[in-house]
Amino acid sequence: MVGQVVLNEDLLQRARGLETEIARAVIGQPQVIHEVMLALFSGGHVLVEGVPGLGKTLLVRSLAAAVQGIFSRIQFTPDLMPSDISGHIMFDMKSENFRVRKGPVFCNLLLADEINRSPAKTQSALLEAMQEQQVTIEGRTFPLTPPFLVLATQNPIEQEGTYPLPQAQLDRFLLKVFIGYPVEREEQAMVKQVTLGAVGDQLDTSAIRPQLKADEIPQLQAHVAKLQMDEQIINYAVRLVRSARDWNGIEAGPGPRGTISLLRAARAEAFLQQRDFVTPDDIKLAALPVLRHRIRLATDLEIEGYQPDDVLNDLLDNIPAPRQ
Amino acid sequence: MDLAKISIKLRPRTPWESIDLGFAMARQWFLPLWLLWLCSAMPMMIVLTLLPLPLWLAGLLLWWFKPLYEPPLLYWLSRRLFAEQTSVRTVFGGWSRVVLPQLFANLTWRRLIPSRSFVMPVVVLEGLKGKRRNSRIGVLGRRSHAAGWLTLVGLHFEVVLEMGFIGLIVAVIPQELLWTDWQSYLFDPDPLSEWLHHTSALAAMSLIAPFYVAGGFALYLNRRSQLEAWDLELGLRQLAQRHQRRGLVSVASMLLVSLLVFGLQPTASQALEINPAASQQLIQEVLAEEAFGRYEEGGYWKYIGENSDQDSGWLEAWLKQVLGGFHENLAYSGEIVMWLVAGGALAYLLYWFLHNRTLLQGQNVGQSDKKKRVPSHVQGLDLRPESLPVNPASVAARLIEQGDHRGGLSLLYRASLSVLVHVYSLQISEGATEGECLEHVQGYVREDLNGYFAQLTRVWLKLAYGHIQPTTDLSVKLCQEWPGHFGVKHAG
Repeated sequence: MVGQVVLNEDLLQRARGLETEIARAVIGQPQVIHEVMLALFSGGHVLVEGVPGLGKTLLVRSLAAAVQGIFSRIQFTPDLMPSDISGHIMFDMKSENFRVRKGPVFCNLLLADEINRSPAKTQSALLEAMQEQQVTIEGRTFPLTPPFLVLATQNPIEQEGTYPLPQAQLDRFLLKVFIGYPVEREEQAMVKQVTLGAVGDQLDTSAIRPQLKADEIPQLQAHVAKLQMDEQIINYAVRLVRSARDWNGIEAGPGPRGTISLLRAARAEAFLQQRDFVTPDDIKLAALPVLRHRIRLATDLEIEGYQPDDVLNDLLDNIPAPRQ
Repeated sequence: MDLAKISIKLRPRTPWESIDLGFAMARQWFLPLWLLWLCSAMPMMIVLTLLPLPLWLAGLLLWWFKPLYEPPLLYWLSRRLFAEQTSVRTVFGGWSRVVLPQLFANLTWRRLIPSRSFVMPVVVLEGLKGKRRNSRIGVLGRRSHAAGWLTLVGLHFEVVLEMGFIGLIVAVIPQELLWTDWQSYLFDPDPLSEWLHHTSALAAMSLIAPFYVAGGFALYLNRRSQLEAWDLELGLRQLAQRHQRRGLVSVASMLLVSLLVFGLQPTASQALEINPAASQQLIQEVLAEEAFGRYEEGGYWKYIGENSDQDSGWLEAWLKQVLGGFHENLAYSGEIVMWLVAGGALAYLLYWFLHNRTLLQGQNVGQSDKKKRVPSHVQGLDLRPESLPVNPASVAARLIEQGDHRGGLSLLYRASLSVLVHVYSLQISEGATEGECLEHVQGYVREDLNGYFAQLTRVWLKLAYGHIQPTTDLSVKLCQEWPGHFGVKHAG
């Protein structure tokens, strides 16, 4: 643990308890919650794919409540302008001065709903903010307050009139997460909890107890970034990503950013597993959400209905784990 | 009916050409024909609507009463064809003459006759009934099946049009206002859907009816023309008219030519002098000329009943024997195949049971599984028993005491995996990590062994990837406990 940021045990425990806390409000999506935690602690952004009504907004609201952060939501539409995201300068009649009106991107947790409904220009405005952690309005640059986590969603079933994110922009997301229907038992519990004493369909996050303060997240991210990682683990991640480029059935493999993202996510995985070092299992667990949107399948596999996860699982089974 | 005023060109046509002619007529006079049909059908629809009938029955009756709406069209068409202008008032003024005759028969036993449009003129225009009607239809309808096809195709077009109307209406209604779906519409229609259905049916019938009636009428005209040589008659009449116009000079010249030509021929009285025998011979000679046709010989098969020839009995007996034997052999072969399949299935089940009994029992299966193909390397570790020392635990303990914790625990972990793979037949892929090996082991082997392996894996992971060295006591303890769980004899 060379250069390890020393944090008190209480903060670490509270951070690790975040997942359990959010699961109290978002029932039936443990995998999605876990993967969002990975993104939060590794300072990345998440692209969520799933049909509407599965609790994406509730998830981000719950997370915002648990970390006491500022939450914003943008519904992407074909007529959404970049300034609707970043903000704009307006003339204040009272003070007779130009005043900056900051857009919804100035927050800690941003839900970009149906990001593929807007044209590339608008998408770029958000993706630039994600990458640079800053926003430029009329030539003036405004840094975003950390932590800044974007959870962008895509609906896989209604593709008419959408602007699919190009590969280069998909690469900006640390993880791509699939949100599916909960199992029957969990859905039953969720429906019971949500409807008990509820009026209308407002999202109830009152059950969430604040676990962290927003300004503690950057400390935790720094801690995670310095977790012990053996040379063999780095070698394993590189071998996995390099193999993916030449793997049968993959037309375009991930770039070095994929390897970097894989190691970042694996560190966060180790942190959530309450370890101070990364194991090959962490790499394997993080591999699917990190790599699935960074590869493009060959046409014949796509026609046969294969998914990137099928090919990646094959890859993970066949690439030898590290030797010690 | 004055043939000279006919609006179409009479000539011998095939039935299909005739139908085409009828369609041309229907296109030419579509609007009056369509209005005439609606004038008949709409009152009927209103009456049926007012009666306390179920909607489906009203729809069926509307369709069934078609012979009531079609005669006016035929009547109007027959007048218009010979350039006679007939008003709607005239048509319906003679409604009793046009529609009522034989209406009961038309609506009952004749309702489903396929050639309805073709035989309708016999009743409506010629006014024949009874035997005369039947014989007339017999003559007209000989070698003519096109009328049946006209009905069949018309029926299909009617259904297609009706579906088209319904589809169009459903398509233009906004989704929010759509009160039904296709499944409900077809299998459980509500009153509004039934109304939509009947309205569409009425529209489709009204569009097809002019073509149907005109097609049948054209077929009828063509058949009459063939039988009664209307085309020739018309041609001769036109010739006569032309000659009348030429005046006296032409008539005189015609007479002169006639005298010159016919004056040299034998007169009628002379012709009568020929006796029957001579005339018979003359007829035969005339018939023998090529202009009257030629003889051809042809062959065909004709059923002449059972062959009573006894000589063919042996053939029949032989065929029965062969074919009978064939069936028996086939059944016998089928039985053999069935037993083979059953045997194969049993063998496969036995094989599957033997192959998977470890999973079924959750226990060590002993020495026999050693023959199975096992991986020699996992995570790059050599798991072959021959690559390990005879007593790995004592060798590992010695290494640890010498300060080589990594070497000792690595040997211990490798030996454990070797025993799991070779003795417990654990299936581990080459890409399996330590965590996955642990997952495989859980629930597969004895609980105490499971617990020991989990602890060994934890210690090994910390040392290998976290560079956290365990205490010597813990490492030595693991070495000491190893033989109790994995046994020296197994690994060796």
